Amino acid sequence: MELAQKLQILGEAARYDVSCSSSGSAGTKPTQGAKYKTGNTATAGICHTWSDDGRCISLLKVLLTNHCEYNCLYCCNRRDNDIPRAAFTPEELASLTIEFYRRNYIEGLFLSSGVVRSPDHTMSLLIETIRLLRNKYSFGGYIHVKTIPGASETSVYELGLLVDRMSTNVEFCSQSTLEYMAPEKSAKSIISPMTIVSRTKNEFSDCVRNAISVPSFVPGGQSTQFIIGAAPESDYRILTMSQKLYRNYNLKRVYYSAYIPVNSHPDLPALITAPPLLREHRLYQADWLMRFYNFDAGELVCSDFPDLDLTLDPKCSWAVNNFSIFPVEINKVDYNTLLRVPGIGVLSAKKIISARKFKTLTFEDASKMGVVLKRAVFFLTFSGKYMACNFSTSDELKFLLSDKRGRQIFSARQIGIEEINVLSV
Amino acid sequence: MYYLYDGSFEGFLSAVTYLMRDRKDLSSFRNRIWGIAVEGFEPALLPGIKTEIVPDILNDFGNYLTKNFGGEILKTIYHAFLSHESGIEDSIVLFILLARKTKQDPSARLYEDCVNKVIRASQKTRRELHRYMGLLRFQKITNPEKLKIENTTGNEICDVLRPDIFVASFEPECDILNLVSEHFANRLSSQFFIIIDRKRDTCSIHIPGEELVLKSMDKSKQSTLAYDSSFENLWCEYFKVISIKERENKTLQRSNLPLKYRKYMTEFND
Repeated sequence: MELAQKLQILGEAARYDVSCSSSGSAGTKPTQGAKYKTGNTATAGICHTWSDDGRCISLLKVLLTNHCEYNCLYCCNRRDNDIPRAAFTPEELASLTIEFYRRNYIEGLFLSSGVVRSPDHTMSLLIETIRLLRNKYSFGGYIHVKTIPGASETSVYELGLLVDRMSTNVEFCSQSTLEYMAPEKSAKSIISPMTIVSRTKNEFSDCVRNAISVPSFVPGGQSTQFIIGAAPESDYRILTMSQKLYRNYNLKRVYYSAYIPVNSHPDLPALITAPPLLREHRLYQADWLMRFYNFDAGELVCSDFPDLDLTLDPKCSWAVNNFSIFPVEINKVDYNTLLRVPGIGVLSAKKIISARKFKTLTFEDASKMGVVLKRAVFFLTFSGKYMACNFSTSDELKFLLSDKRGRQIFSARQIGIEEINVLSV
Repeated sequence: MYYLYDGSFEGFLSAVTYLMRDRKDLSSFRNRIWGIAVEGFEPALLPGIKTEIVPDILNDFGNYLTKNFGGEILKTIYHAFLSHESGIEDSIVLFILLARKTKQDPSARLYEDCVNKVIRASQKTRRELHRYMGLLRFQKITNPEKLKIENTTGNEICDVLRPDIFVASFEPECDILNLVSEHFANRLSSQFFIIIDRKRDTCSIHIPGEELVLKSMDKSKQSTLAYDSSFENLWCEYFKVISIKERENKTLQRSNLPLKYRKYMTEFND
């Protein structure tokens, strides 16, 4: 089979893995001298292009092969599907990556694979490819590899010495869902590589603190992915599990991938189901609040209200439900409460804290500094003055705060159209 | 009267040193009695004084800024200058005078007009630089003997070594050729490449193991170059299949990647 055809099949097969970032790895700094002849990593990710679905592309995202012995219900590459199958040789993939890199099409490689013969055999193929790239082609760019669930400790360790980031897709929240969705995998086989990586990284950090030299091991950290909408799991379960993963395994990112129906099965949503893109967007917003705004998952969702409000972003939704603490005075309030004001992000909050040392800030000053006053005005006072219009109920406030998609849902509710039609917007 | 400089950053800073020497301050600037302009572009009616670059005075000024106001201020001013926004010279002068008056880096005082303009201009340059680090596309030349490039010892590179030569073009709004070339010199240190700024007709040449060279470009050389398209076709094929049809959203694609950046991108020009 020709290289172009292989690239087409194996690129298409890998596109549902939404992890895209090339950031966060200080793997090869340019000043450290020429360990690798070609390539370095940039700590802030670099986007190289955007595909027709609007997603950023910065890596060559492919499967090493889409032959697979597993039969996961939701996957387009499952064993029972009759699709064209292909496999790269390690040499083909390594030389393709380096040529794309030299032309600045990509920041690096994102490599996954179907399971061939056994998890460890597949891992050995991945290791061989990446070793070729690092050693023969002296490649210093970014490499992200997907660990195969069930891989042994030795193979996870060997791979970790070669790559910038590793991830294992969790996909679902509970063992019981996994049992019918992906019977060949188990919660233990998925979590075990994550435990090995996080434990090794902790041990190596301890060594560094005690001035013992250790090799570079997964400098960019770990990430994982949940599928949204394939199984009836609430946002509450997904967000609490994400929070646990961040805290216990020190993950860099959790990704949320809206389920795109590719297979027909009684346990899966119908093929005509639109992908829940708005729900995915709200989950990412909630994820950001947990990571950068010091929110706890329990503040955003709970067992009584297990799903995020689709009409409003989670921060506005929290602020409306906790309106008793507002309005706050912009010139006096502390940084953590400032972060909780809708319309004030991390950068604006820092700018406000620095600028108010020199001057008492007014409404105009806040606007110059990039605060989104359209939302923030309801929650702030400026030297005691409240500048927002009047509103009577919290529903009215919600409407005033909601974005274009949120208002579409409000209108749909009023006319009586089922929300499911607007969910895919 | 206007202090005239040659258009480069060093020239601009030299003009500022003349200004400081002549003891100009914030209040007289606000009466528009004087300003800084590029030679040949000064407004009529007011006389112009030519300024010269004296390396020692320039060094001293740089040290004065860094020592008194921190390491970031020179970078901010440099990036703001490179944005080539009209009137940015006046804002930078006000910025420096404000620093001198308040005895600290004024970057946090975003309620001041001049500070706001300078910070936004420097952000504009940095953002464009970051964008082009991803959007620049290199192409391999198949007939490198057409390019006559000499290395520092005066030998013609292409005849002697026959290396793979990669060329990239772009049309940035800000003058980021120098900054972008440094990034790629670090990243592709063993690669022979040329980056061409089509808007300003300048180019940078990177020969492995040597310093980066910037020079103005000879347009006649461009038309005779032939490019190797084998990997370009592979990239275009890959670009088509990576998109999920059910999530197609050209509006989102355009808001992330405006049309003005697509002129020299392989995947949008096949």
